[in-house]
Amino acid sequence: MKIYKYIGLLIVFTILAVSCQKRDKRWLVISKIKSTAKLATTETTIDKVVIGNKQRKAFGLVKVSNSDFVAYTEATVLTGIDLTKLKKEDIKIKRNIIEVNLPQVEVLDFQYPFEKFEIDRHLSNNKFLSKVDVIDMEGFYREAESDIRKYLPYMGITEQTEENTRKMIEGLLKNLGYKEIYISFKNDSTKSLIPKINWNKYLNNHD
Amino acid sequence: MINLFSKGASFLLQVIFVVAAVLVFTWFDPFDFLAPTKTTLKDTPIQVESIKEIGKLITAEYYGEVIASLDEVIEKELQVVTINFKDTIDYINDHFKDAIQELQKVEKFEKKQNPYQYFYLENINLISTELFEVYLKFVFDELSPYHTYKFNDFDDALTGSQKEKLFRKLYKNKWKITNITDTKLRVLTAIFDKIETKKSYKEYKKSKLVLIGRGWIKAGFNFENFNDRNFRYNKDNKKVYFIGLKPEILSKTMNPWFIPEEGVEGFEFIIAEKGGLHNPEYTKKVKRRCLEKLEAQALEKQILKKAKKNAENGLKTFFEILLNEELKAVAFHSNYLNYMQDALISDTIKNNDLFAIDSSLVFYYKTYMPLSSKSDSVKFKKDTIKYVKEITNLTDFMDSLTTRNIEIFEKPYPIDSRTSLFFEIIEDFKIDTFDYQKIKDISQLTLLDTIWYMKPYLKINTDTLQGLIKGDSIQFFRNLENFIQNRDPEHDFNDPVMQQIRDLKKDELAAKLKEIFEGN
Repeated sequence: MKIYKYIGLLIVFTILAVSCQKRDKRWLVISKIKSTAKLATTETTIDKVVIGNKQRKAFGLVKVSNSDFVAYTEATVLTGIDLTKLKKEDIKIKRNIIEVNLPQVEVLDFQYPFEKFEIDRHLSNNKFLSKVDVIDMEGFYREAESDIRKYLPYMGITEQTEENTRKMIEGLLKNLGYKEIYISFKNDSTKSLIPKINWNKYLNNHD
Repeated sequence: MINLFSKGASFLLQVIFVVAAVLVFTWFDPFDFLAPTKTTLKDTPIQVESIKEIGKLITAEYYGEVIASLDEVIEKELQVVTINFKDTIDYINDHFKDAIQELQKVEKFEKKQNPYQYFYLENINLISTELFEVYLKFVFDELSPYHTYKFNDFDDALTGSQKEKLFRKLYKNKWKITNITDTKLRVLTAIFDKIETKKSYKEYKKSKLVLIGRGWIKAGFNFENFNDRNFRYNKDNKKVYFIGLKPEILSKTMNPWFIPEEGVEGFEFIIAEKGGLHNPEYTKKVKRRCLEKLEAQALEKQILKKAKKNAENGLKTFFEILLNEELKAVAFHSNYLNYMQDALISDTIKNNDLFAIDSSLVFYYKTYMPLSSKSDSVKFKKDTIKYVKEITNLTDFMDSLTTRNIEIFEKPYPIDSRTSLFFEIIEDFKIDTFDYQKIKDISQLTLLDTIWYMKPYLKINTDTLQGLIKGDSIQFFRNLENFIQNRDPEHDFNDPVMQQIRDLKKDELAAKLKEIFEGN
């Protein structure tokens, strides 16, 4: 009888412990329209295979169950220049000759659309006690997104974007009547390809 | 013996109980000692699939968050399916009634042919429409004095002999197809709705999923097909014009991360139970709904209007820097007509502008006119709505012309379909044989006359227009054009019939026009 008492207490304790979970931090986005003038001249498509694993071990030693998750994903990155960062001092005009020092190339939009996530049902497997649910999948996608963002500066996007932007601005300047056009780009090694945004205007957090 | 058995059974029960308790504890593992589920992402390569040149100007960005649930998605899916069903049934009903009227006009059938066989041969398109057999069963049950359409009849089809009976009775007018009213058809739609609701309840089986989605909508202009013809810089009036560009949504995004640096998730699972927790297809549907709602929010906040305004302001500063001079404005015009209204009409109209005006009127009228030639009601309705929107541009332009005059011999003359011809005749201060021929031809209506005549009717609202689109009336605008072109006003643009039509109010106009066409 004593053993039933102890097991009963253990179950009650478990239920209480599970129900007293720490509440997650909650964010509230303040909806706003922001004015910008960003010229995107390059679109880069990036593929990433997401391979995730979920394991359950008893007492941290014995593997009880193991499930795999495989999905094919695609990200699209738009790069170009922020026209509002162009200042008067960046331009030199002499009759019909113009020299322009354009702002540094940056990521203008990063899209990792859920519509392009394709789960490979042949390679994925779900085992009892370690079933990969949609919350786990979302966790995998978040990690994959962080991974892609981390390696963006090393994909050669900057150079291609500068070339495309140069071509577009040259065409525009010719239409404005300039005959000799010289274009260069600012290059600040302290600034990253993904610009830092002040999100405070858009966020309120609730604990 | 019994004691031994009961002791053994008791021990077995205790073992089972302890093992079950350990498994339950392992499952919940509140203290993390059993190292519960651990998820790891494997390192996989990131491949650049393509880098392509584009031209997009982003001038407005909307950041927001929305909440959506699986129940909402199911309800919306049901609504769409029911509306499509209703539209298809209405379409079949309209065409069936017209086809029966045609059948009743047949005096004699071929040898061994009955009305049912005749009908099926003559109306192949109608009978191959999805839901035609469902509709036929409904008509039979409703018109027959011995049957009533019931819920379980939905999946049944008529037998061959029942179809023969139906068409025989309809041909002889013993059963009246006019008894199938709109109210009766709503019963069929209600039954369909009930069946679909039952199906979806079975499919989704109490699955629950509620998500918060956070993302952004970016709007601006797409310069991909941009060339010299889309850009004008007027040094005299210090204005830059972009022609043929409309503000559009360039991207709508909800990523797994909203702000990775701050740890703000793009999608937050509020409730996920049963199928909602394990079926990624349900998650996709709810995420899609989140994105639709975010886009709707952005459109409600007039993101497109703001994108245009921001572009005009932002690019003004940009061009002032590039040109090193002050500009009056940068203007975006969706088409050449709007540009002409702004650039040409705001200034004095010169003689050679008349030719540009006439050519533009003819060009836009012709390109706006085509509607889908097939009587597919859903596509035709969409085409009609698009047509009405586009033609509004043309009528607005023509309205602005009628407020302007052109000066001829220092006298103002209003602009209409004959202004450029008139000017052509008198500009050399004499009337010769060629001019005389042109004057003789004035009694013949031209396309420009049609355009000017049609101006007051072109702004018929979509509801009135759709009310006229039934059966053969699909050719509504073509009939209208022919009607006007076939009239012979003898150079009298104040034709009494046309004057009467102009004076009518819109709903009376629609009825009057229907009377005229059906009378013809």
